[in-house]
This record gives sequence, structure tokens and C-alpha cells, in this order.
Amino acid sequence: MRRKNDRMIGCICFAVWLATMPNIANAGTNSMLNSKLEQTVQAVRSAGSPMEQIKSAQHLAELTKGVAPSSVSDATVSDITSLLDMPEDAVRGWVASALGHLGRRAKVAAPKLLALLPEADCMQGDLTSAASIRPALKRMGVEPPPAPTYSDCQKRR
Amino acid sequence: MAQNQSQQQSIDPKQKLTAKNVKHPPQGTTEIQWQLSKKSKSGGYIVQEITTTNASGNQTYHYWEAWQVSKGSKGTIYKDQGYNYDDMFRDPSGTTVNGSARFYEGLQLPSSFAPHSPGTIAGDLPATSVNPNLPTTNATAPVDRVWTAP
Repeated sequence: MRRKNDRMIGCICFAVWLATMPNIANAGTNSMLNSKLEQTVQAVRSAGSPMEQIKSAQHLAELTKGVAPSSVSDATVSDITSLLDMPEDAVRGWVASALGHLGRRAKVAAPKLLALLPEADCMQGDLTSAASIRPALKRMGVEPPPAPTYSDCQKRR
Repeated sequence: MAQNQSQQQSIDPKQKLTAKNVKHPPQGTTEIQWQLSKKSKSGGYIVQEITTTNASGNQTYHYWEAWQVSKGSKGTIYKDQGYNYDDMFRDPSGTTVNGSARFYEGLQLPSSFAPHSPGTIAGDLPATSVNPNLPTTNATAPVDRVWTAP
């Protein structure tokens, strides 16, 4: 009887351990990744020069490439999205790339990206954030509007 | 310049740079992605000299712009992170753009290169209007392109 009880307790303990371990592991991975991302968001905000801002924003894109989108928290997605308010277009480009890597998980950023696109599209330059915003929107499942021609941009000015 | 030269690694003699046209670019533009034939051994930069002339034949811009290539990659950092092109020409009708680009293995970009640099229209790319006089010892053969805005 005692042996049967011991076996049952053992089974219950094993089942609890089995059910808990993966969650603990995921929670650890999530918090590490989110903490890294939050630190990098902070580094973009506190950078002393535009070049440092751009480098940190680029690092943000590198960090999000290949991660499981579900492992990034809502708060982190929101903080990354808030960097789109920064005035430096190159920063916005890398931030759009980071959000694009998260696909539909970052769809909350789509309205802001769509709002930035007309300015990025008509900005003079061989490479602007438009090259990153369009594919990011597509990865989120949002079809971006067609790119304007040179004369379209002239009319807008 | 001497510093740049000393930091360059020897380039694979078979390394080749090509400009791959992006399909269906917006009307009146041309878009490309840079492509190396082999993975970069130590990372470096693609540097393109740009000269633009207006419809009357007068020079409007002359500058150098750069794309970083990471060690072990065949494309630029932009391509690696999902940008859908590396370089776009979109100019007033009749403008002619001349571009000449090489990949420089192991190059440390001179500090004169910066995004939105005065006298350049490179946008987010680090660029300079001052000739960086880069030695071509560890560089690929040039990719020359000419485009006239419709």
C-alpha cells in the first residue's frame, strides 16, 4: 500500500516537473531576449551621436532576426515601435527592419509605418527607410501602397 | 589613407561584385542589390563613386557612398536585414547618373563618410563629397553603370 502511494506521489511529482520545466525554460529565454532588446532600445535613445543611434538601431534588427516572434513581449514590441518617432531616417529604417523580423507579431506598428512611408518614399536619397518599411509591412501581412514616381513626389512638395 | 591600406585584408582574386536589378521597380526609377560572388573573408565596404549631370550636361553632384558587408556575407548589411534594395536612382527627367563601384575587402570606412552628408544625395548611406582616394589593391574590378532618368 505504502509502495503504491510512493509510486503515485512520484508520478505526480514527475508530471508537475514535466509541466513546469518547459514554462520555466521559455520564461528564462523570453526575459533574457526582452531584456537585451529593451537595453538596445535604451541605447538607441541615449546614444550621443546620430552614428551611435544608427549602430544601436542596426543591432536591434540583428537581435530580432531569426527569433521566435512569440518570445518578444507586447511591452518590448511597443518600445521598439516608439523608436519610429525618432527623427533620423536611418534609425527608422533599422527599426522597421527589426519590426519586420517579428512579422504579424508586430502588426501593431503597421499604422505608424504606413504614416512614415510617404515621407520616406519622397526623401531624396539613394537609400531611405522606404526600402525597409515596405518589406516590413508585407511581413506583417499589410500590403503597402505603390511607390510614387519622381513627379508624384514633386507634386507633394 | 595609409591606415586604411594597412587594415585591408587580401581579397580573393576570384571575388566579383555585381549589381542585380530588382524586379518591378517603381516607374521612372532603377533599383539594384549588390551581390558578391564569394563570401567576404573579413568584411568590408562597397564604395560607389557617383557623378550626376542635368539635362543640360552640367554636373550636379559628385560623391562617394558606401555599403557595409559583414564577414561571411555575400550581400550588404541592408540586404541581410531584409531591405528590398541597396541603391535606387530617381532623378529629374534628363539627369544622367554615372556610378562606379568596387568592393574593398577589409576596409575601415574613413570618418569623412556620414549619412546625409552635405553635397551628397545618398540618403541613409554613409557618404562624402571629398574623394577618399581608396587604394584598389584589395578591391574587386569596378561595376560601372549609366542611367538616364526618363
